Amino acid sequence: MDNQTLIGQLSETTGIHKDKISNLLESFAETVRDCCKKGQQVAIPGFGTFQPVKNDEWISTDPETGVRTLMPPSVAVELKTSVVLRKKLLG
Amino acid sequence: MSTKIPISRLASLIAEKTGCDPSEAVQFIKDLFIIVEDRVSKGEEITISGLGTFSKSAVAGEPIAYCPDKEFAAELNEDFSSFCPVTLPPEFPDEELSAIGTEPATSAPTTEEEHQETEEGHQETPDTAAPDTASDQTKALPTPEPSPEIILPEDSPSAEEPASGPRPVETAEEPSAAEETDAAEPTENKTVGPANGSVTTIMEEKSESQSTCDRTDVSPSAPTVDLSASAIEEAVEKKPKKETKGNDTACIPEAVEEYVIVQKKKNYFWLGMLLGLLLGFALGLMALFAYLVQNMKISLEDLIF
Repeated sequence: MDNQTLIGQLSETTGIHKDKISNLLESFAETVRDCCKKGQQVAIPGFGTFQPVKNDEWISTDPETGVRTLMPPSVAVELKTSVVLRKKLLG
Repeated sequence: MSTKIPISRLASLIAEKTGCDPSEAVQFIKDLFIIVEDRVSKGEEITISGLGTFSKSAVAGEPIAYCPDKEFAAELNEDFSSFCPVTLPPEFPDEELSAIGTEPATSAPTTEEEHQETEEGHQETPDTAAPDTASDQTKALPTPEPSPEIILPEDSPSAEEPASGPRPVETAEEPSAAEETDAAEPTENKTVGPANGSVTTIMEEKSESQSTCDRTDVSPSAPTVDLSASAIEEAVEKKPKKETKGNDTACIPEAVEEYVIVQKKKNYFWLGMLLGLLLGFALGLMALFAYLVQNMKISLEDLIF
C-alpha cells in the first residue's frame, strides 16, 4: 500500500478530507523524525515505540583476506513492538 | 535515559504544526496504526513517506518489521556523514583495538550532545589516532622529577653562612680543631644554627677553660666570636629577660585574667586543730578556776581583785 492509498483509506475511516489527512500524515512523519533526531523515543500505544539506537564503531574482518575495516558509528531507528501487538498478531 | 514522547505530546506537536485540534490528531494517529496493523497482519507492506515501510517480519517473536526511509536515515546520520570505513593496516596493533568491538554494538543515544561528543571523538583517523594515543600514554605518565638531595654536612665549617650573631666556636674552627672538640662534645657541632637561644645555651654550658682554649684555635679567616664577659653577660641577661617576658602578666590581657578563676581547695584541718586547741585551753582554764575556788577556799572576789 503506497502513501496515496493509505491517505484515501484514512479519509474514509476518519471522515476527514484527503488534503487534511495528507497534511496530518506529513506533519506526523516530520514530528517523529525530529524527536528521533533529538534522541527521543516516540511511543504509540497498542503498536510500539520508535526509538533511535546508536551503533558504536566496530571492526569488520574479511574472513577470506583477513583485512580489518574500521566501520564508523551510526544511528538507526528501530520499532519495538508492544506486548499487546505481539500477543494480538502472534497469539 | 532518553525521554519517551507519549501520544498526547505527539498530538499536541502535530496540532501546533497543522493547526488542528489535539484530540483530532490523537484520533488520527490511532486510526493510522490500526490500518497499518490490519494490513501488515494480512501480509501487505505499508509505506509512509518520510517515515518508512512496515511489513511482516520474518524474525520469530516480532510481528512487524520496520525499515526507515532513506531520507529519515540520512537525517539521523547527518553528524556521522563525514565518517567512512577505514581499512586498517595489517601491522596495526591489536592492543589499540581492544576498546573497539568486533560486532556492531548498539546503544540508545540520549541527546544530541552525545552525538556531538562522539563526532568530536572520532574525527581523527585511526592512523593518526594510534601514535597520538601512544604519545598520550607517554604524556599521561609524568616523569618523576629528581628530588633535590639535601645533605647536611656534620663537620664542615659554616664559613659560607654570614655571621649574623653569636655562634658557637666549633663552627668557625678548622676541621682539625673541630675534631678535638668533637671528641669532647660531639653533639655541639650538630646544633649549629642561627638561633641565638641555642647558641647561648651552648655558651653557658662550656667552662671558661674551654673557652680560652677555643680562642687560640680560631682560624684568622673564620669569623670571630666575642667571648668576652660582657657578651656572656648580655647573653645571660637575655635569657632571664625572655623568661620574665614569658611570665609577665602584661602579655595576658587583663580582660582574660578577670575571667580566670583559680579554684583552691580549702583545707579545714588546721583550722579545726586551732579551734580544738583553743577550746581545750579554755576548758582547762575553767577547770583550774573551779579547782581553785573549791579546794583553796578562795573567794571569787579575791581572785578577781
